[in-house]
Amino acid sequence: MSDTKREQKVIDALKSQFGDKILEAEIPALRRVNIKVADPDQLEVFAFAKEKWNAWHMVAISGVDTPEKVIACIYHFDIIPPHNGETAVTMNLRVDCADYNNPKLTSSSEVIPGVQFFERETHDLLGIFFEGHPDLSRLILPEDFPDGVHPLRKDFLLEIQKEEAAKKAKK
Amino acid sequence: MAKKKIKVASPKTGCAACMPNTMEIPLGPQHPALKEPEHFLLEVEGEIIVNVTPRIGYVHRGIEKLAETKTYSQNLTLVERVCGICSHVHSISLVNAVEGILSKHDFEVPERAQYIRTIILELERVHSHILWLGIAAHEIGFDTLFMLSWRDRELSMDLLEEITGNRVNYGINEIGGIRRNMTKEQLDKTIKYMHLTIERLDRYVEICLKEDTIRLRTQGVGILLPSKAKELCTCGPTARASGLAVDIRYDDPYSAYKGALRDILKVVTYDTNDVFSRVVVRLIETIEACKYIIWLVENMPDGPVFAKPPRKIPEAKILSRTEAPRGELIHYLWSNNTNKPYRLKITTPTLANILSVSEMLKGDYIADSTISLASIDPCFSCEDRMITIINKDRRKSKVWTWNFDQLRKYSREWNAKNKRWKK
Repeated sequence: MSDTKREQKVIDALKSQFGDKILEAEIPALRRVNIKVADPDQLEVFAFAKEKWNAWHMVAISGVDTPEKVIACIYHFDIIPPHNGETAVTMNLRVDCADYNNPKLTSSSEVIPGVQFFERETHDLLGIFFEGHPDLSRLILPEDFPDGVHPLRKDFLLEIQKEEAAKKAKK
Repeated sequence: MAKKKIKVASPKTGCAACMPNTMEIPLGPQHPALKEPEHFLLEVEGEIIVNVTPRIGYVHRGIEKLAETKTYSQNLTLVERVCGICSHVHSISLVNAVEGILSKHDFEVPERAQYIRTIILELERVHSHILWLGIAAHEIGFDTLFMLSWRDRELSMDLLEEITGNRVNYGINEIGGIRRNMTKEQLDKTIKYMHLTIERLDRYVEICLKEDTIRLRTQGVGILLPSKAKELCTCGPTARASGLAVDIRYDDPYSAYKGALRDILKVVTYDTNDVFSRVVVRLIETIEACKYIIWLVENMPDGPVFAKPPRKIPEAKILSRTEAPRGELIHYLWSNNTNKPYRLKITTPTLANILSVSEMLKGDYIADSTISLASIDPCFSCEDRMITIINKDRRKSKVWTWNFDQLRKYSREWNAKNKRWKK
């Protein structure tokens, strides 16, 4: 791995600002920073990043049902340089939901209005409830889809997965 | 003018949120502007749109869930089916993610493979942008430009077919390299065709800048101010047309953009923030893309195009960003030391840009809604191998539906009779 000075600088700035609120921080690869915070702190991090580095660009939100039975929400946003030959640094900010069966997070749509659709998508597919979202209605799933069923959870099995499981049980 | 099938609903009653004297007009799911289902509920006051509520998800196919049941090699075929126009960029994105994990375990992709991948990426951008120009011209009723630009799009389509073997889902990528090498003749032909395309595009730039038909319909329509674009996380050519210099090829280089190509890469921006601005940005970007292709062919290294990867992918979490023709494409991969992904998250540029469309439409006339919608280049799901022709005169309507074999037969007969324009 070549020079990761800029990534380290980002982590240092966040640590000096937030201290213990940053639970984990690492540099997994060039131009990437992984951070983990607890629930309402992500809003402060977004506001801080927006002010300090002009990090307006929320790229995506990924929801993951992790192997440790935790619903995690990962915000990807990047710090775009003023185009003098430098590259951007992308942050993956992970926030874990406390309750697996009833996951809740604070909506960041007040800080960054552009995340509305990403949050609605995550709400549809993983069932994370975003508190304070202006309109958390169905986005992707059909209107007659049963309530409380979230297809990207690991306990929702496709036909092909059920067949595989049955084959394994037979063996 | 484009034909519209707008149904006027009865005046709205009993909605506290909407203003008095407004009406709701449903636009879609089957609509005048796009060939893909997407619903927009326009709230209008007279002829002016005051509010827009988008509803998406009509073509949700559960690809992210399905990807968890297939191996990485099978997934390459699957993710290519996400979109029919920008299929290569999806497989590149997944391949970059997997190879990014493997690169920490001393696995390297041959450089020639990266160059050929990038040539196909840029060819895809050329054909996608020219396709968009045709659609935009059709929306504003300039059908001559639509026909001409689609004729010239065939140059890049033919190249893609010759290099990869397919016109739509190329299937050339493999983890560790590519499946087909490029021959000397193909490289020469690429350069020849790209010079031809640049010549044509120069003419279109001239037309778009001077022609009143285009300027009257596009200038001052669908305005998205830079501050709003920032707020709504706009990406791709839509953001660049609002004066924001964001381009993943430059900001977060991948494939062959990592090397010397990045030095000649230009981030094209334009600052009038309207549909006209989006036309200019896309056209200039297409010309630039042709130049990159010529550069890549001229600087193509020799060597192998494939290295055998291990079957199991070590545990990691990786984010892969690529610049698709429409904007930024994200693949976020969690691997778990097996041959199947634990979780694959795909975010397409249209999802990021839908909120911007709602913003663009506000304050515009209903008549301009089609071109504003088309101006972000929403993703067309796929191409049907079927043609339906309906007579304009409805009373004598006659519908022909061709299947693929009949279409092929027709095309062969036509080609035998008519001299093809390129020769």
